[in-house]
Amino acid sequence: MTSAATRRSPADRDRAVARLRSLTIGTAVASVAAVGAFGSVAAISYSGSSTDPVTTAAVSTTSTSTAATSGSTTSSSTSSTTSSGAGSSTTTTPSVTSTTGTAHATSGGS
Amino acid sequence: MIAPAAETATTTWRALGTGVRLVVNGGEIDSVRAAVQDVLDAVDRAYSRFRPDSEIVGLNARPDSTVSVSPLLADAIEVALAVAERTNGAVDPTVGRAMRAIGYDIDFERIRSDRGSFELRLEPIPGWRALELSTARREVRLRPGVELDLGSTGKALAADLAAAAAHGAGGAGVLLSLGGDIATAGPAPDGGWRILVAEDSEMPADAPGEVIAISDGAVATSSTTVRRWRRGDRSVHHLIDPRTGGPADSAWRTASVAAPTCVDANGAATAAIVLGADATTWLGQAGYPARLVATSGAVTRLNGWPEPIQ
Repeated sequence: MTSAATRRSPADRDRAVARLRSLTIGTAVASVAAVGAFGSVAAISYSGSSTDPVTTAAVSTTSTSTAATSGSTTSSSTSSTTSSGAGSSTTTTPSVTSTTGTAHATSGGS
Repeated sequence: MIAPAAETATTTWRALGTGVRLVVNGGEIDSVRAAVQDVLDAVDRAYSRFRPDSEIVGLNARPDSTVSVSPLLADAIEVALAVAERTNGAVDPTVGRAMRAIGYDIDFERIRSDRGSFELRLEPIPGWRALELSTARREVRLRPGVELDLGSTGKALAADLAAAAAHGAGGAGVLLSLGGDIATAGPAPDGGWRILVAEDSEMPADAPGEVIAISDGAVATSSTTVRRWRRGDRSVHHLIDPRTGGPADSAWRTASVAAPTCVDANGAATAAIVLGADATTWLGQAGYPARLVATSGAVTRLNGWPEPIQ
């Protein structure tokens, strides 16, 4: 579906590409950081796919805190801090709470 | 356009062969949508399996060659490898040939019509170590017989990137759903982003069911019940078990996971389907809140995934 809002000038597109590039770098770093969260789960050697030392050098410490039950509401959170060759990053598992009312979106298979 | 709450604006459209739903909290939506579409267009060009001129189609056509790829495709492959590693290969990007073997070689919109009986030829998955990626040089080399399919992690990465771009476009809080894989960025509405957890992402958001709330992070759901089709007397689905090369024969039909990023959530949800009975142990160690629906319909909640409010 196309709308007027999606038609961009060349300059707009150039800025978008630059923005996308910076975002992909950030996401890749975050993803590598997230590898650390699984470090204790999947402690296997990385024998010959990516040659990027960032991917192979991830070292992690993981801590988990769970709690908060109140009435009909339950939540949890997990935090992990990861250091890698590219620097440090902190990721936090979202707190999940039961609620009611009309949802903003549906998560399901597709 | 649907506005589930006064402070948010919502728009929907289709891209990447799936439904897109964008919800903006406290900001103008048109420029935000444009930022999302820019990312989805780039993703489509980089790694759509169903677009003859995409980069990944060209890459798959050049086995045993060192191929330079765009930054986006290099990032997407790197993310896929990272997910493969941390799922012990349960989610593997080298399932391209297996996907073709089960008939998923065209856009799903065209698959639904039965193309008659076929012989299901299960092939071993080459495995994620059968490709070499130099992130520094952005070069990829596939062994002969290896075909990449970034469908699972690729869609999730697109959601993460597009949500971040959308937030960056105007500073508003953003929820972005790509076929039910949901990423958020920026400030959430009061009470959090409310998400209906269902087996089918096409379920209307105002339908009755289990609703959760998150203030940040992502939620993804993998299911064998939706992208499913028949060939002759066989019913097949798109979640490949790399151990067999065929559709996963899982104890679970649907898995939903909350995680810091959509890539993390999608990887864990897909791994849960593939791992089957072993998923509870694996997810328990991973620590992500998860909701698993068994083939019987029984629901298992892990790592603090809350019971629904009755």
